[in-house]
Amino acid sequence: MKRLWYALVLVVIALGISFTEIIAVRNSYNTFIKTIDDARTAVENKDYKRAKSLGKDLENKWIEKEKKLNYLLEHSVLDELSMNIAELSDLSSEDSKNDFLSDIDKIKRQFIVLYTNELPYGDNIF
Amino acid sequence: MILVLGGNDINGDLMLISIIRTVILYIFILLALRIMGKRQLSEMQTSELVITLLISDIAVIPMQNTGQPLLSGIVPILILISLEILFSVIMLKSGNFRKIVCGSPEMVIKDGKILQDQMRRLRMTTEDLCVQLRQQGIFSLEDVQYCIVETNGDVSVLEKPDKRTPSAEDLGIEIPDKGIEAVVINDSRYLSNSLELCSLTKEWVDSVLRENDITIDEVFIMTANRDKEYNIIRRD
Repeated sequence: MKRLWYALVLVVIALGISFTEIIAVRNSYNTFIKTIDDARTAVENKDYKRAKSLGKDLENKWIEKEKKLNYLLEHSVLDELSMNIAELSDLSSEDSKNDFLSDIDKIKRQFIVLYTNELPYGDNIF
Repeated sequence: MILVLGGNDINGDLMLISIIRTVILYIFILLALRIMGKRQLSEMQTSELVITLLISDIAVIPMQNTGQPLLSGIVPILILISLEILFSVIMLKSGNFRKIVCGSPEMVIKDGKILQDQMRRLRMTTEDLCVQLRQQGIFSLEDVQYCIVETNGDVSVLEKPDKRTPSAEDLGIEIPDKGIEAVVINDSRYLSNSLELCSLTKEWVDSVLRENDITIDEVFIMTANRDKEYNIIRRD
């Protein structure tokens, strides 16, 4: 019976780690999606200064979040996001508007995929 | 993390990460095997074999691939350990469940006759059977009265009466019961469990060492039984 209690404790630990992962990814998703949408809107409104600032803001927040997410998620996925986010602020000008929009959409898509891949939906399980 | 650490030392750092992860996972799996219990380490049932193979395969992934978080190996192993413990408790309580998971022992020789249908069902050839019998010191099928294939794949054999080794009782001989002989000193250290098993004391062991003019540091191994018969092997 003692071992059964050990088993229960181990299950609780495993579930705790799993839910921590989902919550961490969801929080990241919520934090960044708004900034991404605002940056997109800024570029569409030709407010490149604001777009650059939002790009920098996104990068700084990401550097902080990434340290925690590295404990929970595959590093190659996070590395790719890091590279895309790092390029963003340099593209916030009239000449590279399309590149910016394309990159921002890519980043948004990556966050959505990162989040939805963590959820226990049927297509993720099977 | 793709930050360059120390200039040209990326491969060295990755190796260091692998080393640290290997140590962590090794200790973790040792603890896991301890929690799962001694049975895991001896003869394995089907479920135990499955769990052992899965744990070893899962543990290797974060060891070799530093891009995978360590937790991605640890969490599945935690769940596997829990499942193994849960299944073993259920199997203890429920014979039917045990039968579903492990199967039942199957007789392949009954009253000296090979049950060929049973062997076909078990996909067991006569060569397989003979190998198992030889490993038990039996070199002729004619000597076997009963042979049972256990759920872990091992074979239990009962020889025909005229082929069995007679016991002391069969011969009407009384053999004194000396209890078990246990190792009481190992590598210059007292083993208190063994002393208790043989109803001996540390003081008695010390008196034996004094009689033999030997100190405990000079003892490689000492065995004894409850009749105080002992054997000492000195260090080289």
